[in-house]
Amino acid sequence: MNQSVLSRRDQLLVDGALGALEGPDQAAFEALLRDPTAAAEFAALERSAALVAMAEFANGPTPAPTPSPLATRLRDDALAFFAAQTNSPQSAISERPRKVVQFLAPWLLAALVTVVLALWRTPRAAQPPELARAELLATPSGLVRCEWTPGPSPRRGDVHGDVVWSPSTQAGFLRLNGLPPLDAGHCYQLWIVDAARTGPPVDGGRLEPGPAGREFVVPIGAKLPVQQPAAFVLTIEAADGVVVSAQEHVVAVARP
Amino acid sequence: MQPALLPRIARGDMPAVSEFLRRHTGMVHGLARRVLRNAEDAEDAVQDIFLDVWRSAHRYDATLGSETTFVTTIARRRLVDRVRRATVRPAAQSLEDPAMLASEEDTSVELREAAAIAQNALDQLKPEQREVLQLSLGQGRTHEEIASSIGIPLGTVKSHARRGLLRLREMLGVKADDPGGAR
Repeated sequence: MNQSVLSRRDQLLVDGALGALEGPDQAAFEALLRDPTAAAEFAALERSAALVAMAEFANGPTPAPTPSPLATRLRDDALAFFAAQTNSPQSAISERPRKVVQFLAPWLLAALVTVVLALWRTPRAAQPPELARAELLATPSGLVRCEWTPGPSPRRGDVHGDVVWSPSTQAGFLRLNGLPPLDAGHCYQLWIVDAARTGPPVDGGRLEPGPAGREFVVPIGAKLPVQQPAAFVLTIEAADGVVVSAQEHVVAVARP
Repeated sequence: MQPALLPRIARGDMPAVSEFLRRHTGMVHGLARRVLRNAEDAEDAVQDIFLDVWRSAHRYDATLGSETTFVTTIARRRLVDRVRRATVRPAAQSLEDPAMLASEEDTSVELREAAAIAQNALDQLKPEQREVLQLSLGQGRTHEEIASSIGIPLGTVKSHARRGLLRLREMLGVKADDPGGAR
């Protein structure tokens, strides 16, 4: 690559790594990257450029400390991101073929627990969620309660409300106002980050945006037992919900 | 070398995420401030960069570079994208700006070691190549800004930058066996 006169190909790759592509060169560069060899060379040039940036950073003035609100947002973003990644038995099995038996056992157990919980909750399902929430709030102690904060998605709207969760009964409610309306092809989906669970977060069920301008209450439909809820995350997904979220639209996060 | 976190992050390990943020936020934020020259834009960019890191964590290959290099590569790519999209860009900010100078943040051992190696390679470049690369990659100046500030033609700036980066890659021995890179 290091000849006296650089080829057009090499110029494009180096300019891409330097962030110096202009106009029509950008399209030519993107076309060039379809060639795996060119893409690999570009990746190496990018890493070389990163090393220079690191040297200049390390040798430069001490940077300003990270603003505290930014640190909080980064933590919330991360919680939301990983919350939106649902547990996918198929992918987990393919990654760890020798652990199929160990993997399946807790899932079967969890499924049984979920069925039991669903049956246990059935009689209460008849009453309005607002009343059921009030009943839950009247229980003596041990409730998790947290406020919604806006997520990073541009479609986040102006969500207010809170989450109430009872670890002992594995029941809870979302109180929401300000969720933007969605088209028919999308829904909201809740995810619960469980600090006690090493795998991805728990699917908390799908919900509709609710009546415009009015508060509404929705029961949480956790698909697995939740031991230590670390965050409740609302995302916009395809209408039927998803198994693996692209995490493109996190609209709200509530952290205990 | 510090224990790798990205493989754990790829599995959704939140303590690893917290430690990764502790290690790298200072540098990513510092780079964003230098390149974007606007505190608000820089903070938005830092959020985008870390989301991209979480998405890409499973692609990390320790044989191709450190985690610091991985996150810096992603950071540069996102910052370049933002600069390209920006219609207006503030003037280059002095590194003596009080906002750029403050208390100690994490300049990790790994970062210092990698930086020392890169600096050694930079020192072996022709002075004009080194200057252009330092301004371009270290301070986020565009080639036009560099041409204007040091008074040489734009084409010469481009030539120095291209040849300098190619020579650096050679000296640093950066491998090209990663077709996907961190993309």
